[in-house]
Amino acid sequence: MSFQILADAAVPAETSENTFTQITTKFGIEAGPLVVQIVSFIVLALVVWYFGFRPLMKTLGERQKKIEDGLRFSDEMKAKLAQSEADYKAKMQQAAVDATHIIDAARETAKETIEKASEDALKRAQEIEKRSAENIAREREKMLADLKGEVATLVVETTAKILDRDISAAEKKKLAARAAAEIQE
Amino acid sequence: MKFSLKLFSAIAVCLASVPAFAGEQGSESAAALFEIPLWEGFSLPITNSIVTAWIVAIVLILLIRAACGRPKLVPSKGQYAIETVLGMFSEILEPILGKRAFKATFPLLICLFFFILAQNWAGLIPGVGTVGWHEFAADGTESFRALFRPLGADMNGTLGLALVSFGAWIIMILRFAGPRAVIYEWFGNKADKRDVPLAVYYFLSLIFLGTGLIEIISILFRPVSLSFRLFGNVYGGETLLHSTGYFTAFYFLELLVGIVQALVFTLLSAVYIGLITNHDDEHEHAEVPAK
Repeated sequence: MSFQILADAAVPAETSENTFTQITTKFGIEAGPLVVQIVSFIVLALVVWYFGFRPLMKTLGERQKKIEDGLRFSDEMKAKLAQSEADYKAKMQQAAVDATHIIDAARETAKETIEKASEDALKRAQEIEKRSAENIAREREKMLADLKGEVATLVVETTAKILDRDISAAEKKKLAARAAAEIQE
Repeated sequence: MKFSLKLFSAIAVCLASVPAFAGEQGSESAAALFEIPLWEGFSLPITNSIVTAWIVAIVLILLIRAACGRPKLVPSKGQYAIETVLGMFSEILEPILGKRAFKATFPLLICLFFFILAQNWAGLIPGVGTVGWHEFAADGTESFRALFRPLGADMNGTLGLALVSFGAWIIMILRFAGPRAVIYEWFGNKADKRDVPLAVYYFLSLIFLGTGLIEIISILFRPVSLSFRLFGNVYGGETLLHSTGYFTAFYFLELLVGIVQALVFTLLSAVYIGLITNHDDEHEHAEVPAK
């Protein structure tokens, strides 16, 4: 029936208006219900969108943004971690180099200190040796002087006893000088 | 849960099979249940399909609100289900409409889909289209008037949706493409003057003018094709179910038809808009590298 009506619509021009009326009558198309249906849908669409789907889409957008932010943050953190690891490695390498330098410097300083201490010790030993030699020389001279005096006195007394007379002061002086000369030789 | 299912099944069987209430065959036109007087001599008839549409719309709003509640970043099951549908439609519609038109058109299209789907499935509820009363005309002929009719089985409903879609199409193409681009799209000579002889070029202009006129006629018939397609499928399905006493296989077939028709209506509306707005996007994309 409906197809027949539609087929009729393609034929004569004078019957087209009649056919249109037939179609609208047959299918119950009326302005009032049509407008009500349009308004009903528009109202439903507005309510469903503004109170249902729109907040949902907003939440979807927020979630999407959070995920994107999270991924971006994760990437940033990964980059920062890589940078930190690189910094750490660089610092460790620098620290190793610095430590080597410090150890070398310490060894150098220790070597210098030891050398200086050795030199000082050697100097002090030489000074002590020198001073000892001087002391010995002084002691020897003193002993020699004492010995000369005692030998001279002994020579004078012995000579006086052998000669059995008193020896004059000039002779004593002469004998003492000769004895001292003999000792020196 | 099991009790509710059994109760629903029992009511369904009763409503579908009681001969006193069952219409043997539905009517093409909706029946006016009551009228709202607006002014002298004019009143607004409220038909059974309008009442059904309102009830289904209210149920749909409540269902969506119940499913979504206050949307949270960590979604509930209901929110997740609707989000999945929205996400699926976003993925399907954005390439069709183009990025610019998508944001403005998506609300209408998603509401169209849910509204048509709900109305189609509402027609499968036993009692819709079968519960009513018999009227006797003056000549003694008996006719059955249903208390509820699915929106899709009323041409006013399907035509109303098609007109909304058509109105949205006009607004969108004018907003996102502009009258000049639209006229060029329909009547403009797409040949390049440098590629063809001048005589051929002017001849092609005439051809494009002719095809533009044909295009306009086909565009004017879009609301007709959209509305009749939906009406035919829903009305046919309703008649089939009533004739076979809600035969289970046909019932599930109609469930599928309900989704397919809602999808077809929505996608065709999107394609009609996208044919012009997305074309405009492609031009823009093409121009970008040239700059």
